[in-house]
Amino acid sequence: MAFQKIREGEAFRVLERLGIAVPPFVTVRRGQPLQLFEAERYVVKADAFFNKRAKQGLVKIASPSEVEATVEEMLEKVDRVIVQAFIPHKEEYYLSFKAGKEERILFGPGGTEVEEHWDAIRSLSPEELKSNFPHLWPFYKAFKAGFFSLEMNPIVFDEEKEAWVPLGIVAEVDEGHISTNPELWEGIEIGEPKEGVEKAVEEMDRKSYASLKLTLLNRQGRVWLLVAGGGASVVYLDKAYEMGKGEEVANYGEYSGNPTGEEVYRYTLLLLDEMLKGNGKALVVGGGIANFTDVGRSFRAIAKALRERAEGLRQRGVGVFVRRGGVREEEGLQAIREALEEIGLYHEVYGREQPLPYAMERALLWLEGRA
Amino acid sequence: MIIINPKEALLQPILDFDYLSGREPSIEGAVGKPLRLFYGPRELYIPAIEPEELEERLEEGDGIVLNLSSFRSAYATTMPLLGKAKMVVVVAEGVPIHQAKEMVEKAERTGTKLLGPASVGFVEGGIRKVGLAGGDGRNIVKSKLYTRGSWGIVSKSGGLLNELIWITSRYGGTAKAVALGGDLITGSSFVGEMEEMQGQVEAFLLLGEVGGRAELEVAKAIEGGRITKPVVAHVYGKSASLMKGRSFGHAAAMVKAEEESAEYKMEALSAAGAIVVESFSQLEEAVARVAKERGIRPVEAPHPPLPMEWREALEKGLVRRKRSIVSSIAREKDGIIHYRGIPATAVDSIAGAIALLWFGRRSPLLEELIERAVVLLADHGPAVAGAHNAIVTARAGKSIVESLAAGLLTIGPRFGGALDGAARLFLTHRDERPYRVIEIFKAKGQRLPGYGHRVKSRDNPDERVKALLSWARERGVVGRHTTFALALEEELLKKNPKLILNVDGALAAILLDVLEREGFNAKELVDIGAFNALFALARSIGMIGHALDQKRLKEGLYRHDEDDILYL
Repeated sequence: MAFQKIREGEAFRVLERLGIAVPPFVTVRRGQPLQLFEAERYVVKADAFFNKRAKQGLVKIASPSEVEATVEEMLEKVDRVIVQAFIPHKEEYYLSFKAGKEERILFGPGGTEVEEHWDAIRSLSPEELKSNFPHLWPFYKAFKAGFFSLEMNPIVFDEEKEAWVPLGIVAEVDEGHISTNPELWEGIEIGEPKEGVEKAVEEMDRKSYASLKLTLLNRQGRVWLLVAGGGASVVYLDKAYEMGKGEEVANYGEYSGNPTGEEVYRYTLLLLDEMLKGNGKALVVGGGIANFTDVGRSFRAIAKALRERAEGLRQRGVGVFVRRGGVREEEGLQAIREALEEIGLYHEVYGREQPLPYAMERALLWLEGRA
Repeated sequence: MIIINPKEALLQPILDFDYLSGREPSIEGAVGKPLRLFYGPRELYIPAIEPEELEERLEEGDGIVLNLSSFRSAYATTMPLLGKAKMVVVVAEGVPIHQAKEMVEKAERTGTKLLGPASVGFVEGGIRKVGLAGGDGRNIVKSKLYTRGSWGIVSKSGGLLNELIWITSRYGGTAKAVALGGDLITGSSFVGEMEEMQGQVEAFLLLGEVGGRAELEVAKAIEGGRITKPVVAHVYGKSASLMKGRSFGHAAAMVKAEEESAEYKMEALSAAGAIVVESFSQLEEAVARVAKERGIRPVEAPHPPLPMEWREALEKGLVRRKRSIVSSIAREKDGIIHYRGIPATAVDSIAGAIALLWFGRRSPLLEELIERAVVLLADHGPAVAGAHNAIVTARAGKSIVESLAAGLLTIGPRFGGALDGAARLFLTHRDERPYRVIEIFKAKGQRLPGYGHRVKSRDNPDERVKALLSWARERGVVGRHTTFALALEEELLKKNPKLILNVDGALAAILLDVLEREGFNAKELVDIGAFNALFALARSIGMIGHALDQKRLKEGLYRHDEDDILYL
């Protein structure tokens, strides 16, 4: 499953729900009014997906009279800003967790210069954390509630609240946890909000038992991928890269897990529409030899979608390059062959007798006029 | 093996594998659900395994569990098995990462082998197929998985495992092919699998991917002499730089460090002595070369033919059989029900549906009459026998449908049969003189159906009959039956002013004339019971109404008044 970045403001919200003390904070988007809470001093930061904000002038301290102007100024550079109360503190620490076969827990002196004295940071096991720093154990538990990685720098001790408070967070969440614990993650924005066709596919994926993914890489790319399986998709990208044509590939995407005919049909239509809106010239309908995805069914669905966009595809002079094997492969390949002949597009249809990447190879050669 | 959360479509290929390999069926059962699967041509019924029996059955059998649960319940269903089963294969993709970690740790602690999550399982050529790996029966035959081969195949990706199996099928076949699963944290490892299967293979085919360091472990194992058989390898994901840090391929395939890049890992494997190909396309060539060098013989073995599915044989015209049922009135097409070829969505009235489904085609005249008939016959109050039975049944707490059924069963020669009776009367005697007909019935001691009313009479006519007749005249459908019916009425009224043509009689006569006018076979329709059916359809409206009424009024169980019974 995928891991997704999460904005700092959202991370604060989640930690708050888990009972962690966080500084009073508010997030503001460009064009939104600032609803401020009372504080003696404020910290204004860009709430975005990159690190080293301080070095880019995207972390500023502001007095109550300065804070509004500071927020406005920063919103000219980034689309979202977080304003938190300045918590007076003595020492600054660094605490991070990362999931993996071996979990990685790091703790030590923190702050903006943390990288300069990285060797002062210790690596701990969960048991060591629990026995030596029991006050930090709640953060480990919070991490386990669904984060793939949770980095807090600085984390400080708030004398007034008598609690450990993270002041800066960079985090990634595991989508698997979000699905199985919806109440905790209700209303939390994950990752970058998708738009257009990527958003449409993401919604389809959410509602489906199967997997449907689409990421646009380069709208100017002339080769579009309609591929079954995540691994196979990468192999096609590799092939283009090998042939020096990596930038020609417009998208990464895949369908897998035996989606219904209706799902494959709609997915294909979304892809074809995007392809025709862009610079698409060659369509690679590819995949390995399916374990259980019904190729007969999925290819019939693709054929149906192709027929519906016949006019647009013909006008563009799109070429279609197919390679696939698996359950009901003869039926599927035949269905798509017939559709392409009917529509009148240049096409090459291969089964398992050709290696997996062959469809990409042929597509690129054809684009060069060397087919 | 025992199955959790079975799906028959995914399990049939396992039994096909067993059959093709000449092995006994390897599925002992599924927890909580019986299975119906084919073993060759034979249909098997495999009883469910009760949850309480599971532990015992694990000990008795091969101890393998194939868990097909989704990511929502994979953790909950797998954890109790660890420590009890010998091996668990978890297919679900998207298992929360912290749950996956717990599963892997418990598996290591308890000694149960865990494959997955996100694993399609493994196949051992000719021996066993656990999971989805290897595809369906046809693929098992094409890839020669039904017999023991020489190659050990390991990959993370399940989809590509089948591709690798296919590649090696022409150069020695599969000894064992395992998919570890594409998620970040999974049980087992490249190195673990390869060391384990070393004894049963001649050579390895390893497909790694960008992200993680598993391939580096393999390189070390080769250098360290722990893996001695030749390893053909490729690591895909060179193009990761095109992805600009977005996660792609599998959850695991995310570029974090240089050591985790495809190029670096291929370098390391090559330096260790593996036969590395830079392009996926070159795998076959490398496999062929190694097979030749090692003298790996191509796989050739007989296998029984796998029976075709009935549906497929039918579609291909290879079989035929006499159908059990013939039907001509309705059929589904493009997901919509069609009445005599007309989509239901294009039928604009109830009478239209009746005309199509009962009479075979539409007819505005007939439909107008049916509409009137149904309204007139819809109910006759609670006192009549049919309604009474519906009421009693409803008051007995039975459902609407049961109450309706009770009422409908009352319909027969004495109740509700007048429409049908009158129609037969008119059909049979229309060419005779009315007085003769009256004599015939008098001689039989029978009353004439369609005539008579308790209250209405010649001087106090039935408005409904008047309305029907004026409709018929307006439409110009007064034919021989209606003419005859009216003539008979005239004759009867000479005797008894109450023997008017009643609603049943009028409807029957006009209906017969309309049917004739519109070219339907009126006699056949009456003979097969269409007029009775019309009454039953119409009166259902009233009977259901009475049943609903009783329920709304919350009337209790009916018991007939004792005083109202003559005991003998």
